[in-house]
Amino acid sequence: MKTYGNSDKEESLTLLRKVLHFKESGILIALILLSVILSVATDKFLTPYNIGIVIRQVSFVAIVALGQTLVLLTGGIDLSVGNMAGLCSILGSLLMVSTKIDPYVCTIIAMLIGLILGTISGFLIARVGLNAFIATLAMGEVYAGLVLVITKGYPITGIPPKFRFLGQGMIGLVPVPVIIMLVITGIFAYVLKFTPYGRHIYAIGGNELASRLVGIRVIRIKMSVYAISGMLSALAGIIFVSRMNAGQPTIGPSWLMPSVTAAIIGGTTLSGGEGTVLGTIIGAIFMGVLANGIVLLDISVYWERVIIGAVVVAAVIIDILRGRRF
Amino acid sequence: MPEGKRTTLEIQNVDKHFPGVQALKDVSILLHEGEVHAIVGENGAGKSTLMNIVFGLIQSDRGKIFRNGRQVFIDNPIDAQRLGIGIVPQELSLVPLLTVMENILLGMMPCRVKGMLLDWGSMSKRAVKVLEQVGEYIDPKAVVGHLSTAQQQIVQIARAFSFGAQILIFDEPTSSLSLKETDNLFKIIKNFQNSGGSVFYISHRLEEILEIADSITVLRDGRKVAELAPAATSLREVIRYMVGKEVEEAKRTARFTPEGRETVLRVENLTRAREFRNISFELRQGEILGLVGLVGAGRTELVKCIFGDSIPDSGSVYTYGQKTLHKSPEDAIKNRLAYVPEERRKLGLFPILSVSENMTMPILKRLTRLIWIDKKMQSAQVQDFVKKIDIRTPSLKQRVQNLSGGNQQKVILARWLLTGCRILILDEPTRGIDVNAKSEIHQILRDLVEREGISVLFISSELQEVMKIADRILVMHEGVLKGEVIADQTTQEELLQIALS
Repeated sequence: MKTYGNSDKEESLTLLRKVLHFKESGILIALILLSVILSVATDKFLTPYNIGIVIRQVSFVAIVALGQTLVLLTGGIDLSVGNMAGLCSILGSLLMVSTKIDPYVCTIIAMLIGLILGTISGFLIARVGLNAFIATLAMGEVYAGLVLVITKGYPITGIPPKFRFLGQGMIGLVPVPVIIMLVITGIFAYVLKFTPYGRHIYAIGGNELASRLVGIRVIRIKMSVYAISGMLSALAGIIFVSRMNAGQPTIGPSWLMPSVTAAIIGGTTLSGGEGTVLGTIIGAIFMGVLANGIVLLDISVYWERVIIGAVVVAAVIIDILRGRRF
Repeated sequence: MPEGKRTTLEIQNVDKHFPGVQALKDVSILLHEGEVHAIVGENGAGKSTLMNIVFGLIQSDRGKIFRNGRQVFIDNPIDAQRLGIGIVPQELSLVPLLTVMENILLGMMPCRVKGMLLDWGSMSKRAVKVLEQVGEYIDPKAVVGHLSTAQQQIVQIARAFSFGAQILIFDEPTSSLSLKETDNLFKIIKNFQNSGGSVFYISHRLEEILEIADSITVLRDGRKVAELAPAATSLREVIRYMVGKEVEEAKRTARFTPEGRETVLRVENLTRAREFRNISFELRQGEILGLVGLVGAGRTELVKCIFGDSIPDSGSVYTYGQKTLHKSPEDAIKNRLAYVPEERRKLGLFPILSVSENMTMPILKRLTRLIWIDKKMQSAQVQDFVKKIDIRTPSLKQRVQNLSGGNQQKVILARWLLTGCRILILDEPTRGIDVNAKSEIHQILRDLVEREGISVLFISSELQEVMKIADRILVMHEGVLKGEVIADQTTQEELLQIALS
């Protein structure tokens, strides 16, 4: 049914439609708009220094949010990510300070601890049958308590200088944490789209009962996403140690809300089965730029949480409206 | 058509457009007092859309509705209720954890002290009164989740009665009822009719429509194509109007001879507490074995157990001559069994995933090269089956939730054929599927057993269907195997007798 003469116009229309069809396009457009507004409003925004700060800050939350995205895709939620990051980073930095083990080996050990803690949550949820919300909330409390038991609230200092590279180093113009974030994003995007494991995650989120009946190892896969989420939380925590030169007992809780937020405004649904890691990354950057804008525009930081909360509500409403159109 | 009877509801020239489809086009229907008016049509013909408009769930683009001769605007279900229109939906809308009386009076519970305190005494009295009106006794204090489907449906009917409905819409009310329960429902409908009530009745079971309806409106592709009187029409004619052509009755397969055929599945004394006990039977290669029984007979529980979704308490299963224990569905699938569950949407489909993914979900690992899924091979295999069993979808990327029921079922069938299954267990595979798609699915099954030698265990509540498609029929009742008959030498009456003996 091709009509000649206006095929150019038609083609550009379908291209536009294709762009709009991407679930990520909404948040991407919002991010571009926000960036344009900030660039016009203040000349402090579009500077290499500022961009560097924003993207580095984003990378910590984004790494946690990537794990959170996997969990959300299966229809679960991991509310322990923040406190898990705190506990694993404290254990990792204790190991660095009090033993002679190479700090990078300590990093791997901390990640393994995160993996094990995540597996415990996964076991409680997938095998024992606890509700994900309450199981991870409770486990998070346990981790937060353990952090205080271990540190008595004091930071752990004396991190070996050679460890600074992980959180403070640059490769070319790009900070190392950002590179780590990008690599994980790439791996996850690939796994989710092109491997049976990835597609099974979507299947479980879309219909868990049906997944079981087609022979998917539902329990194993559900446990694995919490394990991965735990491991990435630990990684983010330990990179933050490197960034701050100290194991901070208070880092965890502030990452939980942004990790869920980034995924949700990036198009991942809380009911599972829908969403992408690319959306999550864009979502995380959006949240980072928003927080940065609040600072640059001299809005009281106390407003930050109010604004972020409102943005999440708006994002979810937009998502519902978009769902209705079809 | 009862001449002279008052028109209670008139639908005039209703149009409804959804993105991409004209769901209703210029539909007009008269509903008379004391009339049961059946609306029939294939899936997607517009029956539900029309009823949703009458009940105020959606609004028409054009057209008018008159109630007792006065034009009305039904913007939401509350308007509909005020006009005395009630609905008994296919998926019952009850709160399972609340009691019968709370469910009946939901939204209008009697209160004391200006709405501050629930008046349980008068609530119970009112509920009992309404239930008496329906003509059924259910304990008003019983929790709805513990009731049978039939009883829940009665609660739903009672809710409609409680606000004085004079028009009731029944959407596939018998799809999960046993024969006895269906009779009971018909009695309730007749009573309602005799007291001056009118009914819109939607069902795929044409036989029962001919039995209960006073007039039949046939919709096809959103248009009204005929209004028929049951006394002056036949099943064949109704079907012809529905599909717009004659549906060919698939030929019966040549008589199946069990001699010399390998036994692919043998079940011995299989027992699971409170579900079924001492079940023994054999399924031969290339055979379609029917499994019938009233609701609660334990058919689904039995096949789920064979498929490894639950573990038997005692007894054993032999596949291809070897003793096997399926600890999980995964085991059963490896053993080349397949199970198509009854609740297609809940247990069978991944609604927001694509047609292609729905079909290949169990075989993704087989389609994997090193560590990536070979998309080319995936779509080639899917394409092959889409053609072979004629799945009508605009593209392989289409979300499966946008397909019609018949095509969704074909997607699920294709999924299992792709796994190379040898034993196919089908649980009510044609429920809620229109006549045309139904006969297509029958034909697919016949081809499969003949050409590929697959064996099928076929569960259905529609006895006629089982008698038509199966070679032998097993009859279950309340967890016990009551008998076995040759399908083309039996009658519905005999099957029921065996079940109830």
